[in-house]
Amino acid sequence: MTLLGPIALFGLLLVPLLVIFYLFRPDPKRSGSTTYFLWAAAAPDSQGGTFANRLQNNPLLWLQILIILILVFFLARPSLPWKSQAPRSQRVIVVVDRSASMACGGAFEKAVAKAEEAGESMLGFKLTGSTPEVMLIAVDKNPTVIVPFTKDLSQYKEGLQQLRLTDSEDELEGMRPFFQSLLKAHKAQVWLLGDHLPEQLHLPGLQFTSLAQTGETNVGIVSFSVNPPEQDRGQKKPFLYSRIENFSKSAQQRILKLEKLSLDNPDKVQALVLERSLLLPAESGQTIVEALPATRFQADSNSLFRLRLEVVGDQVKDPFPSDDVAFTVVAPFHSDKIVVATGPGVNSSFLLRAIAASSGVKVAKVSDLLRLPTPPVVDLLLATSEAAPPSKLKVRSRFILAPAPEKGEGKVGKLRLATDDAPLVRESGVEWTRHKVQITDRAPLASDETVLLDSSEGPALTLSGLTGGLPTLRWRFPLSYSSLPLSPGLPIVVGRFIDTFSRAGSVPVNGSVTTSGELLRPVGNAWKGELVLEPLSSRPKRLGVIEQVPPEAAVVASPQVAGFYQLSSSQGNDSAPVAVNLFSYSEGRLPRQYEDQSFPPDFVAEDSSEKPKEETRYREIELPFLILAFLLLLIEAAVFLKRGRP
Amino acid sequence: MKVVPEKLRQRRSSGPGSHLSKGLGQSMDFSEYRPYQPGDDLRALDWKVYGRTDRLYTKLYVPEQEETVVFLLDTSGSMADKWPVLQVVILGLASVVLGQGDRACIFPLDNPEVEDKRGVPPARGRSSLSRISQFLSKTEPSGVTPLEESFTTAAGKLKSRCHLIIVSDFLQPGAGLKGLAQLRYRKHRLTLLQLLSPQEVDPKRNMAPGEWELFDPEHTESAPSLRLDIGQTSFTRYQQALEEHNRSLQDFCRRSGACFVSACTDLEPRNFFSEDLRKAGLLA
Repeated sequence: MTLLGPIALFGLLLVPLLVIFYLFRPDPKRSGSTTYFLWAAAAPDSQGGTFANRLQNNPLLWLQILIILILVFFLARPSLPWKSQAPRSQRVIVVVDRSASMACGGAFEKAVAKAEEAGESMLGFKLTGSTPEVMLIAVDKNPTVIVPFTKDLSQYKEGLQQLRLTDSEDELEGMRPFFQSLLKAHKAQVWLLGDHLPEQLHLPGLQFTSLAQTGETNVGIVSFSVNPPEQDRGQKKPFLYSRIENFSKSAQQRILKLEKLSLDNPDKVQALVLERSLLLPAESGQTIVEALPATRFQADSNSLFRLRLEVVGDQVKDPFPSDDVAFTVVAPFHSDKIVVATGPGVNSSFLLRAIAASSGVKVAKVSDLLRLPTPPVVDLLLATSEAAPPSKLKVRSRFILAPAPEKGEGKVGKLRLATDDAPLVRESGVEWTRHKVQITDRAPLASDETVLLDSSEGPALTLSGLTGGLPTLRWRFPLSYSSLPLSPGLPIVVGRFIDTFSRAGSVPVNGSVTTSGELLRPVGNAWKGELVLEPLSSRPKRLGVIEQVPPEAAVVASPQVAGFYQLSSSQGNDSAPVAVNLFSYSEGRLPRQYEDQSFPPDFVAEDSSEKPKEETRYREIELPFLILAFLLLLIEAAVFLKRGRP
Repeated sequence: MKVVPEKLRQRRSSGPGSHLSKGLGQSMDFSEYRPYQPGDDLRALDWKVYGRTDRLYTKLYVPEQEETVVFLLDTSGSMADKWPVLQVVILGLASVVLGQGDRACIFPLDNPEVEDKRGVPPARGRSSLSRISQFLSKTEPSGVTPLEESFTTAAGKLKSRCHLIIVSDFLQPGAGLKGLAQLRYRKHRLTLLQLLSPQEVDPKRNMAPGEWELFDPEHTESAPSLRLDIGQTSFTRYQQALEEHNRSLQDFCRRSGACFVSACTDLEPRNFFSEDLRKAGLLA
């Protein structure tokens, strides 16, 4: 029995309170009675009257305690677990291999017996509301329908009795279209009973039962490793690499399980990381490269993994089980966190920390990172000076905060809203309209266009260098940041702005690019003006404002409502929109899967030939307790009325 | 109205009274005829019968006998609230007894708290009624009266047969039945007059349901108390216990030929004398 609402057990605290209440009730009224001896005879059990005796012979108290216990138990929602299977298809096609190879080792007789068993299991027990149907097909060179879909077990058995071995070889390799049509047309489970399964028939939905001779089931793990993601290659998730070899002369089916074990107690499984069905052709191997959920690996200590091969159902066990299990230890690593380091004099704001806490961005001080034995690669370094970072720290990009402007310089102009319809930039590498931002492949840019966005994957300055009379604003806005469902109630947009346009009073900043294209220092002009984030609504409201704009600036704001937002730059009387559609989510529109990222659904094995998953459900059994509590209340009322307690 | 004897029988008496004894008495009440025997008083011959039958018959009269009625009073503390009613009852019965020429006396049961332990000696005539009234007026019930011991003491003191009217609530374990048996052994005629207060008959009148700590008022405060959670069930059990107690008294009276009258102190005196005591056979 399971309690679905165990917090209600705190209600048991009422019991001692009730007992205390009874213990400290006021003293009884004292009175002389000439019929004292008659009262003594009338209630012989009630004599005494000590402090503790107040609880004795008090049915009201015990009834009330019982009612509290039952009500608390009722509120705790007791429930009984029961296993339920996902509904299976009620149509099964049994395919029996009757080629000459099945004569070896009595495989054909086994296949017939299995087929009969399958038919009996499907047709022999008809559940309420289910009408299972079974079809029998025999294959050698060609498939032959022995018994079409039937609900009659005797008809099915008659068909089985007609089955005979043939002298021809099977041509299962060429029957892929046939099996595909079976699976699609009938939406049925297809069970193939044979001695091998060619690779061409590795189809989802096709369940193969090997009936090859005993001793030919040797399958082993040849190599096994779990590798951290190599971010230089663009990998964001760790992956499993394994080579499984089938040494037997028949196809084999195995269940592959990758488990994370406890280092302290290797017998304890901490998590089932991966589970999938594996079909191995005869005398062949399979290389498995599978991405793993990164959330299982972001640990600060070593992780122990075990890879296992399990036989399916009642298959003959592997005669050489020593290579069915393999272990590996993975050193700690951090997968795909973006590391932002703050140099001396830079304080990470609350918003930045909020972003970090909810989006996988790691914000740390340079001094803290330097204490680590192997500091991670810093994606962005926020610094106040152009001094080179410590050589121990590998920095991908750097952002130098602009110096404070002198007093009296610069003038804040009036903001101008974006126009309603026409795209602001056309036929360029970046196309953005009033409501939509889209990256296109229509490169290169025209000289008179403004680049507002570039890819987050590429170097920051690859699209720079445009000249002309128009201001050149470089808007770096990674898509992954353009709409951040960070945390419920706190949607945050963050934009990064790069300005290479020479404005009045701007200070040119020369950047430098490494040979690999990484930005070491922003290039552009620091200028005095405004960079404003505001909603495109009837009520303009400034959300994020930067008044002293460095060559590369970031705007961080937290919109309260979902909608479209615009980023504008202005200097003096000149004002121009920079970007729109910084769409933010409200809480109600957050995708549900963001609530639980511990085990992504893409790690559920897709092989539909697996057994349907058993799931545990709970059937609440509150009603009997409620009825019992009600009956006790009635008894309590009856006792109360009979005793006449005031 | 007179106090009737329990049955007519020959009694020894110190003088004539209003109670009849079987034999050649001097009263005016005819009893039966008997064939003349030598020595019979010729005045007792019925000449009219001789004229009709030519046989001599002697008329027999029931002899009148004097009776002493002793009121044994329970003067314990439990009788305090019943004392006014008790005075009315005693005075009424005493006036009847004295009015029919019998002797009446009052004998308080053993009680160290009572000053006048002698009571009122047997006397005849109306004048003794005032002495009885004075005694009842000056007596204040208090203390404890152990009924059984008191009855035993009275049995030792009362040598001659008499009519004992015992007035008490009999609310003690055992109701003093052993002492009453000794009184009956002495050939006394017994009448038990039980007086109960309304609260004793129906405790719901002054006790609300709930927790009560009860003690015996006739004992000291150090006496053990009884802590009760009184409800409807307790009241029912009390009634059953009271009925059982009174039933033991009634059984004793039935076995020993005694008269038992139980009354509540909220009685109506007229009805009590004219109906209750008549029904019980105490008054004719």
